[in-house]
Amino acid sequence: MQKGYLLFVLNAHLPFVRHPAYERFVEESWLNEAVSETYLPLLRVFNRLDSDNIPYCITMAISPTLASMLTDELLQERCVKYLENRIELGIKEVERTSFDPVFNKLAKMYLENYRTAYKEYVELYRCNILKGFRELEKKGRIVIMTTAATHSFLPFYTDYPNALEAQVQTAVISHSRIFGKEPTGFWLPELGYAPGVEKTLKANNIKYFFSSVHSFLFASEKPEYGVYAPASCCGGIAAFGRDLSTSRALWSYDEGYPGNHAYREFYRDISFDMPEDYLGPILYEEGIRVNSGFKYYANTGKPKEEKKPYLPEEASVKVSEHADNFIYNLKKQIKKISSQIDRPPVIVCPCDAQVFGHWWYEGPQFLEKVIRNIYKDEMDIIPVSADSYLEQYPDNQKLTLSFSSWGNNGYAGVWLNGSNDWIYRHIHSLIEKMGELVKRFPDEKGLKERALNQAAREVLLSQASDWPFIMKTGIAEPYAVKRVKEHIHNFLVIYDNLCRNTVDTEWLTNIEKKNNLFPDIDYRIFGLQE
Amino acid sequence: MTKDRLQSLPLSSLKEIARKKGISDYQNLHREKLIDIVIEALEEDRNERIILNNMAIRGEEKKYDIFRDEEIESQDTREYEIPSSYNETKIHLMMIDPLLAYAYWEMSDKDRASYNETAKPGKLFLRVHEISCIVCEENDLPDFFDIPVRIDDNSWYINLPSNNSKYYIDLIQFMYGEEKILTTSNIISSPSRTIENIDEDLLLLTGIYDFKDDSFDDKIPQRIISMLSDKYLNEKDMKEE
Repeated sequence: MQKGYLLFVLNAHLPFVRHPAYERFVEESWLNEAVSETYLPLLRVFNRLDSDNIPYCITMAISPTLASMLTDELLQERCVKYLENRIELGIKEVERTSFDPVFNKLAKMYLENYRTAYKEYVELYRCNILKGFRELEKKGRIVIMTTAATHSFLPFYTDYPNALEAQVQTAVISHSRIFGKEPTGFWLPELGYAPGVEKTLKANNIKYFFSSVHSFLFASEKPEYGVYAPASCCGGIAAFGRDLSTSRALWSYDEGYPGNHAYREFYRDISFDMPEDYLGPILYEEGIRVNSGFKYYANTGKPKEEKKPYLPEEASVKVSEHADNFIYNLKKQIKKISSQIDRPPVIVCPCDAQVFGHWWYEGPQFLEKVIRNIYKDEMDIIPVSADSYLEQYPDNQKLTLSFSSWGNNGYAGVWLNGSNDWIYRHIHSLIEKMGELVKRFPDEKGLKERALNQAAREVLLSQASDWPFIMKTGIAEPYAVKRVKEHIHNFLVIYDNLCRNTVDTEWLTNIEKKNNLFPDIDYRIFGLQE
Repeated sequence: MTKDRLQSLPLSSLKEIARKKGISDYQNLHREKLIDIVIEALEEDRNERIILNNMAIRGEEKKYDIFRDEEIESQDTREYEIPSSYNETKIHLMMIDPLLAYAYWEMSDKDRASYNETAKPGKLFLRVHEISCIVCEENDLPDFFDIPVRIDDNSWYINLPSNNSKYYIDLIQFMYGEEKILTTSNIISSPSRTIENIDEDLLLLTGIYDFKDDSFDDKIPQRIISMLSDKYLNEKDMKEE
């Protein structure tokens, strides 16, 4: 039986959302949902496998913005309140559904989920779940890599080497501070690659990154191993290519596993069914409804048709079938590829972490089952990290990869189109002006240095790929528009102040308190000249 | 939005949603009919998003989807003023895909005033240059084409004539019978869309395999690109067990 490597990559990222001036802020729910529905369940799976001495290796990119939020005291307090709210709702739901055994069982399941999450979050991790990931990395179970500081779509900044350097260097410094070691791997946000990006990565001691199929298919030469061995890019940095077939099985709602009728439906949530007075603290100001997390239906029925209740036992059976099927297909794939190349293929399966648990409720269970089955299966499939693969296979084909992303049609149209194109003239202008400020103020101290550092934060925050993405998809668009405008505005106020040789201390202190990520930022990172 | 949720809304809110969704004649519809039509419109919107976006984008957007079609204004009610331009004359070119680029530009107040004084309307244009190498020799004659623009335009989507090439743009004003280059953009490199020596091995090794029903004899890159974004894996394998 041919052997092959499986390199499983989870990208954990959310944009920086923190609004201390408000008691509760709607978009902060993104983080709380991710913590309770994805990150804690994944930690549970990883720790269970570790306790059972099941060898596994998962590579995770934890973005600097997400890491900053997960270590922020205010957001930690809000996450505790979020979990308390859900427990409170769960108690009400158990009572409300007491006459319906099917729904009552589900209500009890969710209540138990939230109680477990609360206990783990507050008692086990002391509100900082990164401790859990760090411990697993120390044990060699997971590898944590970084990504661009604010997850910017890097191909749009290749004409601005100072912006690329600021995104990468800030990420590396932030990662080193939070995780206690320098990252060796880098997640290109949205797998957005353009020639030249690797030069900045290499300069920051990054050894490998991940790229899309287009990068390899349209490379300078025919890739001898396709996407099943890394390419050696400019300066010797390794690029691993994304495998489409495994991604499709895990990501595609229509043709992959998550859309199966036995699995829980993502959209139908009691928050959109129940009256306002019942939902209580789940509601935001002016009756704004957001997901409650209590979802009782399976992936069945069109909107106007009757949906079937979710049955966790049926879903568990399906999870086992799908895990077996995933491994079966993986082995077939390895066999087929092995007949074409002279070394074991490495199959790279990159996913957004929130596919598991948040969207695909059974995802963490599936992942656990796959890892356990791989272990039982006499190791034909070997879970691997990029570092250990490169130790074994240091010599790889030299290729110049092509501009690409994992977005629609493999290019940049998601992040640059009629809904979001207006942002780039401002962001590019901010980068130029930031470079100008560094030249004018190369060695500032005190208040001016604080202002310059905050200006650098605002430039980085304006570049998050999330804002144009949200504008394109139309979900929470007003918020994304406001955020980009806020960072442009903040930067320009500082720029104007510095030009007038004055700094509004009170105003500066306020925005420092609000946009408080990257505490050790040095504005001079924007001074890089080509 | 569910039917229950829509039923809880006042008629005025339902009509507002119907207006935003482009439903015609919504003013004359009864409440129940209006709700049915709104549900259909929301479903169509969602389906359109599903069709237009690939699996990575559809999966990623669920991270932010906490509202279920509700259109929510930001809680932050402050207005952040930003300038419409920066009083500079400059142009920038951005690559979207091998055959599409985006250019944005602006003119300084001084250049704009000069244009208004000296140029006749319709005498401003973009000149898109295609070059085969970044450093051109003295005698090289790069290809170019012109796109007329108006003084109030400040951006343009440009269909590029060929992939695997380099481009830059001049913003040009025609005055006194002469062309004056106001500003020149950065150079972009459009990626290749052609695959040398395409064969079944390459398709297999890039994960695009199991094309039992398709012929690749024509080797048209566009077909391969569409397969990459759409039907690159036949589901027979998954359902085989």
